Amino acid sequence: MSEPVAAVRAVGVSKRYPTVTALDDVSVEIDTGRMTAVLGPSGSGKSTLLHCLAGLDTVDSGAVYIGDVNLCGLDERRLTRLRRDRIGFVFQSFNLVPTLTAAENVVLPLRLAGRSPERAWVARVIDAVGLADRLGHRPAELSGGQQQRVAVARALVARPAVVFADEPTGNLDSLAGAGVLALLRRCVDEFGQTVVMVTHDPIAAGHADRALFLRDGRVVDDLPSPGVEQVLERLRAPRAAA
Amino acid sequence: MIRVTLRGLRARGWRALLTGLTAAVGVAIVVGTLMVGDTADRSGGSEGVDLVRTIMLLAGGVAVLVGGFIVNLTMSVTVAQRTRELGLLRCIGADRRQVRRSVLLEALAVGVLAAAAGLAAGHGVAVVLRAAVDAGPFQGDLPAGGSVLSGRTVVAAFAVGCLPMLLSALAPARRAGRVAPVAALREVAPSAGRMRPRRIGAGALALAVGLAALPLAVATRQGLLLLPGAASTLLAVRLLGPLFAGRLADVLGAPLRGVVGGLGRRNAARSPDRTAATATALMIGLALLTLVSIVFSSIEKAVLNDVHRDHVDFQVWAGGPDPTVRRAAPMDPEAVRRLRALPELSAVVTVDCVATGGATFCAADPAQLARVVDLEFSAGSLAAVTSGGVAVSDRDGRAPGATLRVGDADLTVTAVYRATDNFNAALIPSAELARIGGAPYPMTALTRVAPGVDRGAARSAVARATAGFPGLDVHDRAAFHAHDLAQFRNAGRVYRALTALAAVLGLFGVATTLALSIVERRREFGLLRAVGMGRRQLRAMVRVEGVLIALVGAALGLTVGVLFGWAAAAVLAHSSQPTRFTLPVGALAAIVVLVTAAGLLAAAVPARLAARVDVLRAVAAE
Repeated sequence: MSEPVAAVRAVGVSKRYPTVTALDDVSVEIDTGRMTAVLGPSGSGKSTLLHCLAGLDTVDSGAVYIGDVNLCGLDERRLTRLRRDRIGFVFQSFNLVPTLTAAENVVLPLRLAGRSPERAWVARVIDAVGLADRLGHRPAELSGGQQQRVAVARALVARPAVVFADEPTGNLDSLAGAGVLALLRRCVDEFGQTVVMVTHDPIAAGHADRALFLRDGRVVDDLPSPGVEQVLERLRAPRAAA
Repeated sequence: MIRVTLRGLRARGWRALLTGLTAAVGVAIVVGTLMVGDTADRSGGSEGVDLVRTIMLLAGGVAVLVGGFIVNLTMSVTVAQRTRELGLLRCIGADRRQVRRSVLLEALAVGVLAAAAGLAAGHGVAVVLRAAVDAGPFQGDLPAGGSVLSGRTVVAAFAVGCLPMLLSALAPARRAGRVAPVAALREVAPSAGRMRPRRIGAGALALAVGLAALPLAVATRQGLLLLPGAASTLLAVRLLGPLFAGRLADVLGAPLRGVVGGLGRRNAARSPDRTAATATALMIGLALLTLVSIVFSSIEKAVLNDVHRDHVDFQVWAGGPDPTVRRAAPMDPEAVRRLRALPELSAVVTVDCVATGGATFCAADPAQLARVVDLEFSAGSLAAVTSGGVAVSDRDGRAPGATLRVGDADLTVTAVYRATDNFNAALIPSAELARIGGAPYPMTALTRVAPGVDRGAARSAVARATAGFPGLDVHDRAAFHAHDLAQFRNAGRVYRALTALAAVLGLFGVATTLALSIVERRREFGLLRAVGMGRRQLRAMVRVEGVLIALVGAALGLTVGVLFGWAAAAVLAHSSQPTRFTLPVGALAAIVVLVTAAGLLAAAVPARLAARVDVLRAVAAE
């Protein structure tokens, strides 16, 4: 398997807080067009890794590349533009702007960039998330699962280099969660979208093409095509993997 | 409970500061006014100070009122934001009364702080006010030495600082007491819910009462009726505001294009109650400002109209040096003859008087007078003033056909003309005057400079002609008008500045509301930043919201101000003060422009706060 260039690369990334080292010399490559799950117990640094990869947080040492752009060299304005144009986000909760309708939320990144949405593409994305009949609704009128699906549509609409999902099913019941995971999977299979998902849920990780395990700020395991059983096993006995 | 309250106050320190600021300004104005007033009383007082005192106390009262509105707003928002915390207090055993009391205590603490700050700042206001009274258009005269701070002033400061605070915190405190213990466990605070029909009913009633005061005041010529009318309208806007404030903000923002403008517009419309409360606080000052502008420009228009009709250049009379005090003393007819001989003058018209039956009756010849004053007849005409007839001014009150008894003679009113500020005497032909009461003697001479003659030369000629007659004064009407207008415009500026102050305080309200909303929307801002909104776009969005809220206040203020300004002008038109209703379009447009600019200014700090939101902390799950 020879991927041309990794969608996202971290090279020797460290991030320290006064009392704790969140990331300790982490180097990973995120494969283009695949879904990577990042797992680990709370405090393992998985969220910090996601924030650093997405340019939401700065690193103390090392470098992060989105495509061939080094995030460390970017000022605030360029970082914002990069987030807008190259990165899609799906957060655990509070994903949508409450004053905007579902449709307006979906095209928000494009509108912020001053670009007019490509109708065909927007229609395809909206069709994929299956919310064509709820477009005029405000977030408060949508269920949690529907809100997350709108968020996925918004993440896809700018054709980003990578979509980062931070515990996207954390606030959902299992049925709605399964719907969102299936949708993310479809983004990868149908649109060739690169997805990075932070989760503590083995079932969620089971949808991924690859699972990275973090503990104490280090990558302790890298599992291709993880099954739910395997993930559970690694999570139960993390020390053995190191 | 007190400790919980004080801790809470410290935690919400900047909020308390914003809340108290307006009240402190109000207290400072009241304190400064009382101090200067007491100083004046020590020296026996003066009319100028009394007038200034009334106006300033009114301005201070309005400031305190606006401050009360802002307290009501912040307390309501704070209680809504603290629902979970209050629920927790209930969970661990606080009863309703304790929760209620904690909110009231917080308001009281803010009130005490505001009063103390206002008391200190009041000294500054007193100094400025003194300077204004000494130099200003009211010609007050104050004794030298420092201003007095009496015990009464201190008591007043705390009363004015604390009572409105407590009153406006009552409703939020009641709401806080109603928070259920289970609210602590809920993820999302329950929404405020729909407006109760009772509130709508009360608002509609207040609106009806307020609007009914307008025609009533005009019909009965009782300007004082406008005061309760305005208060009732204000109450109505506060009660009904949530029904239309959101929609109004949406409509005012309609011209805005683009995603940033659209978001700002929706934010301004998203909590109608809050927008309404903020806009009402701003409305008070703007309505006052509009009303004052209308009244002053209406009076000015009438005065200017008089000035334009008056072509008298020099008036000669046997009065004193003060043109405002007219002593009725006869002029030497020889002086009039000399004036008539001057080639520099094109017209010399006298007002002549006769003694008849113990009274003095003065009149001018209408044909002569028409040479120096544009006579505007509201009934009849110049030609109608013939033998046995008389023209009276509209200030006289008699209608055509009425009888004017002079000595033994009965004159029939055949024409009515509009008085000017300088002239409202009866008009009868000279020959008729002599017939009524013997030889008329001149009381004053109105002269007009001939075309092409230099005013200075004419003035010297008139001075020379009257030089030999003791007690005669030559009075330059043009200079008098200029002085008069300058005085009047100065007074207008002072009134406008004072009422503008109330509007400025309203803008504190806009800033407070925005700042509070921004705390509430941290996560939303973080989300927007994460999906690619730049800092500049975020700031612009908050500014749009600020301007729209301010413009809702301006729309309400202008509407109420124009309605009541029209009524006030209509009432004044029936008084001795010449008034003609006019809409000062330029001034009103300036208000809108300034409010827009001020809305931007009020949004500046909140916008910066919003742009500084840490994306990570905002989007990270709780």
